[in-house]
Amino acid sequence: MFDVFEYKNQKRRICSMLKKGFGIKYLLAALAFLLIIPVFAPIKAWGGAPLTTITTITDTDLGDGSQLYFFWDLRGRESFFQLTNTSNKKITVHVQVFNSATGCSEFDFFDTYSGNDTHLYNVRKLDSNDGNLTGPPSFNNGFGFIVVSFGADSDTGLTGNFRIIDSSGYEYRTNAADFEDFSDVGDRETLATNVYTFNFNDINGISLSDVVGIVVDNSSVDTNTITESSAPTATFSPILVNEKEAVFSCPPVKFSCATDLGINQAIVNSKGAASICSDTNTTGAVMLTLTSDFSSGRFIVGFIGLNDGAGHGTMDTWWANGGLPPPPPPL
Amino acid sequence: MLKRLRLKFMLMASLMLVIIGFGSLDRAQGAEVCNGIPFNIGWIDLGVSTRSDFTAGLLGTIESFKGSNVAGLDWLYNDDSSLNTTEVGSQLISWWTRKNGRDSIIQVLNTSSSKVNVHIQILDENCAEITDFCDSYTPVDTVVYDLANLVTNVGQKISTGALAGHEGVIVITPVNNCPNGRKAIRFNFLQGNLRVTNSGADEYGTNVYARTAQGLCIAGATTTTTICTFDSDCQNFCLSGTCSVSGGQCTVDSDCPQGFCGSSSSCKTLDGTSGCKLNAVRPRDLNGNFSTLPGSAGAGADLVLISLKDNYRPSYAAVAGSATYSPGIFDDQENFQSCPGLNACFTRLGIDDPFPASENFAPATPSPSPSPSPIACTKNSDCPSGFVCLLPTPSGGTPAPGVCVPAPKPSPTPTKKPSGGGGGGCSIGGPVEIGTAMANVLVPLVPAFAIGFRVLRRRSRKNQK
Repeated sequence: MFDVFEYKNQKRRICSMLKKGFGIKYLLAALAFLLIIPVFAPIKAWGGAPLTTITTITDTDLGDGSQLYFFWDLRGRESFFQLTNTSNKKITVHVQVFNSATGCSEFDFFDTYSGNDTHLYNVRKLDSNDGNLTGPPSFNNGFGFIVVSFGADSDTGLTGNFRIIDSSGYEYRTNAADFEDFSDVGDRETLATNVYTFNFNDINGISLSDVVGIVVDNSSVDTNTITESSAPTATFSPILVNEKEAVFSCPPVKFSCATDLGINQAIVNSKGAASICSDTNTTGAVMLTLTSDFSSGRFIVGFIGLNDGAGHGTMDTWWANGGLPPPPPPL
Repeated sequence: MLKRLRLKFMLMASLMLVIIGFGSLDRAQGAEVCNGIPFNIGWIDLGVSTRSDFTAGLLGTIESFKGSNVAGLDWLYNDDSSLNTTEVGSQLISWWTRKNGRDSIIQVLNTSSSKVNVHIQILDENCAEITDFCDSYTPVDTVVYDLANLVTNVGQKISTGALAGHEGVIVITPVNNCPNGRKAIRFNFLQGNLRVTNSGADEYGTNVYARTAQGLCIAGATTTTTICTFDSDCQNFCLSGTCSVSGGQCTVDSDCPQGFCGSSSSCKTLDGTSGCKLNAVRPRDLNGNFSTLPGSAGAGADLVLISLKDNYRPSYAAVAGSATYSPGIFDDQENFQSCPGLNACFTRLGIDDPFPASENFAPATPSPSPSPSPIACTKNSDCPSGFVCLLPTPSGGTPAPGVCVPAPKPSPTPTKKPSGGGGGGCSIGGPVEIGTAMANVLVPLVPAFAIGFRVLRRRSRKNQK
């Protein structure tokens, strides 16, 4: 059976190439493809990427978190996030809520967790684990990101997840994203990258998306306090590839605070924001290559949410191709 | 006459004991890992003991909330490795299911500029391979596998009959050739995501697990024979006390500060030796958070645990592994309960009483399915999770189709809440069902019953003579 498969496979591809081989369209597509591939593939050369255009990959698997990032959204949605202190020590964490709908305005408070403690926060009715939070502002119709910090790089044992429930009856849920410093590359807890990817398909009526990019300035994350006052941004050069390996180049896209975009004209943004690409492919993958030339490093967390607007939806983090050399330590 | 009757009774009792015993000793899929515990917000913590090459778990919950069934899933946190679901890898591993009205859709992306052959194994609940096939990906190729309608990237239709009504693990491994050869290769460029759809209007989705493969640090300069302790003593690498162009094991280039990570000349295909194998994933702890939301009208869960071994020869295959799990559960008041241990290559369980296994979750509210009409059916498997097929009473002629209705909630088995066993509730053993306890005592006596039966039969024969 497999011999037949292999034969048919080869024959199908040879026939297809012969049919299209002399078409100008095919030639142009092939040239575009060849130009794109080196960008899509991870850069192998030592020192191949400018130091200012690489970031560390966020982790959602190792339960040693010390600074966790959550997406939240109250635009016809309810948002909850759960935080757990898996260590047996009492800790105090700094919780910062950034609202993209109001210019990345910040509300923050401190909260206390005993060992093995866990708490579910409701963003619409924010309370604290220790019961000391009073008078949080209204976040109605807002969206943004939340950072919970206990020493940005101290392997504390924080874990968490967030749950965004849309009024149309679906949920976006995923583990929180942990901050990783360039120094963690040596510890093998993260890798340096400049390429992120995510997949999409329209099976079972998926037609809406939330491509969420959160950007913070590395210089502020080594403390317990993130600052967005300098409005750090990250610019990517996006490429979309469909399931037939046809490549679509898209204009540069900028993420700042927590930016929420659509994929293309087939899988548009859930809340009416612009799409990254203008094609109409319903299945494929998007590759985002970092092109910013920022003076200090950026930490980037990306989430991709897909839904049908009628009760089905999922979310998880962007993928990355790591392995670039980290920048030299500061003098 | 009386003797014969007695013999028949003994035989029947033995058979029943065997049936009850096997049913209870096997931690049936669909049970709860912490039966009898009422925590609705908390986190589950599983101690893990294993010699398998890959052990991981996922936790998903479904919940009736504001008239809808909402659901979410992600991998359990671990204490062993990072970037498992955010960094591309050489082997993709995921849960799949076609049980209880569910289907699984897995999308894979080859992020490399090279073509690759892959071997795809679909293992069932017992980690036995029930389907496998070859596929190939061109550079930057993406393919969607719908396990109810399986078509390869090159257009070959794959039979899915064996998958219906089952679940288990799907493993996608880059290989040198397929179907011949099928030796695993180092190809750390794959990523993918899983969607578990359900006609009951809930949906799970998560990135799949990407397992990386090891290589060796390679420089490219001339080998020297300088005695060394660290890499910095050499032009290239310090390997076994001597400077070499090849260094220690690595996964990516940044693991090799003086070179790049590649496959050594003796590692054309992965053979399981150091620097030439898939990285082992052997956590000692797995944990995950769970919660019901304010106003929740019931919930269900899928705690999925997977343990596999690598078999590199003659061809690569992921085969059944085994892990022993020691679960415990915390609530949001830091109350802890330990729960009975379990051992499995694959299992799917509920969490505790508020989170029974998803198939035992009966949606308290009508599903907000886009189709307003009732779902027609002819058998239970046509219906979504938590529903059964209600067929009309036959009145002659052609039987009319039935409709899916919520399944009656099973009456809860009376269970004793664990006393904790002292030490702040850290009992060594957790709650045990009466059936399990009886079976544990009586099943070992089955051979004695059998011997007794034989002795009595011999006596009755002698008496007849």
